[in-house]
Amino acid sequence: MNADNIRHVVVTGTSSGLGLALAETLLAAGYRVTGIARRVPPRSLPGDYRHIKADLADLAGIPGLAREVVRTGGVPYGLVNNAAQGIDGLLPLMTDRAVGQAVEINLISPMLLTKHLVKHMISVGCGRVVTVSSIAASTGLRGLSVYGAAKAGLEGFTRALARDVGRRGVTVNVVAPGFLPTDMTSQLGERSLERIRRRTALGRCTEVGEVCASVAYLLSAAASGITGQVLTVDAGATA
Amino acid sequence: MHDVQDIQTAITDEIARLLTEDGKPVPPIAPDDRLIELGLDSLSFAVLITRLERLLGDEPLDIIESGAYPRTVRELIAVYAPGDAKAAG
Repeated sequence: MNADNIRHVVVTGTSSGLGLALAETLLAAGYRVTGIARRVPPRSLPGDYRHIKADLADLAGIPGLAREVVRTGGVPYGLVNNAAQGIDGLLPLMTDRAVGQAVEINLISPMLLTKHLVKHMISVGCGRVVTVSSIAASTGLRGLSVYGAAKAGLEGFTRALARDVGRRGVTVNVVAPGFLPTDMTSQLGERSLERIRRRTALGRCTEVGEVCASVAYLLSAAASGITGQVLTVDAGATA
Repeated sequence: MHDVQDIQTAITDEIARLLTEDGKPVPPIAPDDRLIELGLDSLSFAVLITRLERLLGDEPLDIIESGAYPRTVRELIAVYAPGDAKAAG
């Protein structure tokens, strides 16, 4: 492995919200970042940032996307599966198609991207996969049954994959944020957000920077002994 | 395009390297040897085909999607040199 590979991290969903903040945090920490999103970030990012425009809902496009990542940026040291779609709705009122799409974008897509990148990590004998889940995976939140199912799926995926690839030097973990003040959660409505804030130990939403710091930690050398774990960063919502 | 001898050499070299990395003995590797009996487990096999993809380019047949896993060294050579593998030996 060479030094370039150690520093290359792929982050999905970098056009806004948590993904954009993650890209900025990791660039500031000295990583080379390849961002993947349908749209380019709204501002130019300082540091070594490369953007690949792609729709992660296009599952058939993911193998080619992973090849492009490796061809243009080299074998990644890290993958941060952040892209997600916060789809809420009462299950009986959701179309069957919406249920399927929510699972595809929030569960199948990150599993496939991980599949096509982790094989390179195990082949060089080092790597980190960090997937952004949600407290909706472990606690019941109204209107988030399908989203919660997909996120819970990612946590099960993480635990098992950690055992599969650990012997080849790759760690696999989850960061599970509480509700963040981003575009995604703004769709949930003020009443839902107020209910969420009231339930937290700290009486507030989780800060984006707190989640970014946790992802950066799991990518760091200090976290090399941590794998198959869920790090919950939720202002005490699930305490 | 690689000739079948280059492909066979690349494959046997990579198998030997993987076994060494896993701390396993490296036996003589012949075309009819079964990969599993050489000591390659599924994780090592995943690493092997990824390294071969980087060395030899994308395989003509997608090993994983086809569901037809090569069981022997010769069958693996045939993935990269369809039609030529019988010559290997």
